[in-house]
Amino acid sequence: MFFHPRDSRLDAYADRELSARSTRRVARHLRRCHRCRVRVAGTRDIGSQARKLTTRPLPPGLRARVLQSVASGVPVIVPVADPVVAALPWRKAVWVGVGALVLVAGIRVVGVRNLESETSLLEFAPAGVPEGGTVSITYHATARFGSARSLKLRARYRRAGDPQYGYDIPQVDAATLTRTSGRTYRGNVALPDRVVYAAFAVEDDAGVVIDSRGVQGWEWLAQADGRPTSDALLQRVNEAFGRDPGAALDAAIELTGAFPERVEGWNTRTTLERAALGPDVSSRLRDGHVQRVRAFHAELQDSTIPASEIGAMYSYAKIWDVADIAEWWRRRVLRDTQGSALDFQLRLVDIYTARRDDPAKAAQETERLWDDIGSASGDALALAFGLALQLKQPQASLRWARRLLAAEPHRRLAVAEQLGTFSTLRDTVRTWLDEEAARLARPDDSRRPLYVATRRQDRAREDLRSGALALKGRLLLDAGDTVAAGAYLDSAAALGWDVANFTAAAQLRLARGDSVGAARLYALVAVDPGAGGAEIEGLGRRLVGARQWEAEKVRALAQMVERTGREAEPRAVFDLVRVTDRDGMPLDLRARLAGPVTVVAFWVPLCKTCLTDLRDTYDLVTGFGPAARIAIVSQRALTEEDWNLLASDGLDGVAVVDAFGDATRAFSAWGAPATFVVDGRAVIQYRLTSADKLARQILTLVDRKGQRTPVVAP
Amino acid sequence: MNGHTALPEWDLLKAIELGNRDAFAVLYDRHASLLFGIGCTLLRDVSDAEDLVHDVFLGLPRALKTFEGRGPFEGWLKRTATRTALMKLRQARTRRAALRRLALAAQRTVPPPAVEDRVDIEAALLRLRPGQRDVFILRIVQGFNTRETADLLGVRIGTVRIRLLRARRALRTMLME
Repeated sequence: MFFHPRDSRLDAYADRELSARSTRRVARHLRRCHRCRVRVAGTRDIGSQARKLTTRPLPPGLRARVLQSVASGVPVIVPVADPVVAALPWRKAVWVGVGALVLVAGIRVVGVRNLESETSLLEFAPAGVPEGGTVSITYHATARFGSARSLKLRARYRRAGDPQYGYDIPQVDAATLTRTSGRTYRGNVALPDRVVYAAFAVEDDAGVVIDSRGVQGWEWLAQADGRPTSDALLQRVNEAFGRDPGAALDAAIELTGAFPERVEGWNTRTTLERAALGPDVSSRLRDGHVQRVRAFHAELQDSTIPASEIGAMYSYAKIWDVADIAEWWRRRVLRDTQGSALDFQLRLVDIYTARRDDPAKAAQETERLWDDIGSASGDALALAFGLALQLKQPQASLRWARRLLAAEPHRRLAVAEQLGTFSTLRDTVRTWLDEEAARLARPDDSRRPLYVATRRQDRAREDLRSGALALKGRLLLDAGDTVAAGAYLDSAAALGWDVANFTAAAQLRLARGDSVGAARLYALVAVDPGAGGAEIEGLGRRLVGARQWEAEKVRALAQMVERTGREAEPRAVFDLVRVTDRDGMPLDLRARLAGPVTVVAFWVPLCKTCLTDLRDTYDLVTGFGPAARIAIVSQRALTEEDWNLLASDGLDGVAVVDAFGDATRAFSAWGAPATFVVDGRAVIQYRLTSADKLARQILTLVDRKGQRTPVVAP
Repeated sequence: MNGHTALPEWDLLKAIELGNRDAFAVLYDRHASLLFGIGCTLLRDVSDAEDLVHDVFLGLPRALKTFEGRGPFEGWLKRTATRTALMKLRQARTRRAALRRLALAAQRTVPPPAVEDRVDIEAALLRLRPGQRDVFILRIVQGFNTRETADLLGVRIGTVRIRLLRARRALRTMLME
């Protein structure tokens, strides 16, 4: 070697990182070159000097401090995942995922005061009850229940095989808890057969005051051999699935830790990792999962295993694109699990793919499939219904709709709306809607979630009923029966605040020549700050004259404030809600809620399309001027790319990160990202269920504070 | 001494997951020095290093859920402690406190070096750019390989190599020339 090796090469030699061949070549050079030998020796010497820095005596007292903290149960989270390299080389490396969430957050998680379960406690005895046993309950209440002599224990029971989300799993009254002393209540619960998991909440007789352990519920899990069964742990995951991906992932990690041999656990965990950690982080887990898929395949391919495990093997291999193994298990699903939900879905897709050009034939074949199988999960039936709709087969759609609703009745309105597109089915759908409206006229406590008070449930029921009546009105209108349509739309308009219903009902009145009735309905639209405008103003004045129109608007405004006020669910935010800014610095969100009305919008960065909604919300809120503002709370750490995305919509200035989870806990975001309207005293007044309610909810709060009613541009 | 002293690492970890305090004590005796060394080199402050040891041990029961036992526990623990230390560093830098920390470093109570040349290397390390110093400490002092260092810092392998090269050049200039 005539030339000296580059510095980087000599360093690599010093670090013993070169290949054997390169090492030999550099060594040959060093034998002849004093300068490079000194260079390598110097590099190694610096390293050895620096390594001495790691040998420090442990400070006295540290051991005692650590052990004392362990004893006191101080909760700390340390990062367990590496940050991810930014996608573009010129960008600074960014931290994402769960590890990063914690990194940005800081390590110490301080116990957050929970309004619902500050000091209450619900205990099961004995703790390790098998399925179908009886459990004694002892409940230590807080002052919230006053001196009530008895309380109601409500439950949501899950059995092995119950689905994720499980909207149609009913809530039941599990027991009456009777006060035995002070604030201690006792009762017994006879667990129904085959129940493996239960979530409980305590409430007063009227269902107004609820202690649901901060919407988590008190959990009971069936046990065997002194630990929760795998079915119980899986149902815990399924229960948390739709409302808290983080909690569901924690539960899935616990499941796979306790039962690493259960494929269904890994399959579920994978789904959650993708949802909760985002694609960047989950792709880093790919190698481990693929390795496990192959190990499971080798171990299980010749074994007799339950249908659920066969299906899970197929899904697990499929989700990680291990094509050969996925295909192997697909064939096994079709061979060994005939009649299972997955078998049904796979066959259905096969038929659809093969018969896409012959809808009638495809409909016949899917019908024969049903004859063979006779039952399927809600998801499989929804797929069959969707395919029948796509094939434009009305009778097949109706049959699948009936089967779907038998399995999942909560889909009634959505299914009716879709079936209503077939003119030949409108009579049937109208009958369904009458039945649904009648059903919704009566309270049904079994459909009230554990964490929802009766008042809120009544409002939700009214909204649904209004939707059913309005849908029937529109179907009657399509059929040309304007009189009946008008009656239904009037009823729908009287139940809730829905601008579309007001407009449809007003148009019908106008068609009948009822100008005053039409103007009264149009006035409701005009005062809605999210809907009114010059066109409506002009129309109203033409209908009844300027003076009466103004009077109608005053009346309409009072109605709006009254109806919107009924929608409120006031609930104070915690004393401290820590979030972080772009640089990871902690902020107190609560302190920022003082003063104007604040719209707190939770956002999951994965949802790029949600940004459009956020931008619309931002525009709407800023239209109120200083009377209202918006705070976007990201539920996970934001990458540089996310910040840039927010910046491109001008939203980065109002975004913070819920790195500590405080905000999610404080707002009790049940499920996917939600938006809340908070008044100037940091009291949450509304959880937004529909974007078109936002403006009037803000307006109502601004009015309540006695401020000038803001003018919102149409 | 307690009944867990002779336990294999895996059993010890199970005991910790179950909240056994004696197991914590044994684990502390086995690994606290390692963690404290990581804290001293990366954080350069005894109090911060103590906090690091404290926090890592207290976070263990939860963090252990992700330890699948595929490699040695000590390696996993070292990575976890390093991540935590890097997190602390990043927070400090974000607050622009790093400069203040550098200025105060000489006055803090890091135990006196046993070897004369330690002062030189320590002072030289303090004068490195933060990114270069992190790479040098992880790669050379803590012994992580290039890939591991890149993963821990969330940067590319090429970035690690360049920073290490520059760190060495700077150290060489400061220590030998």
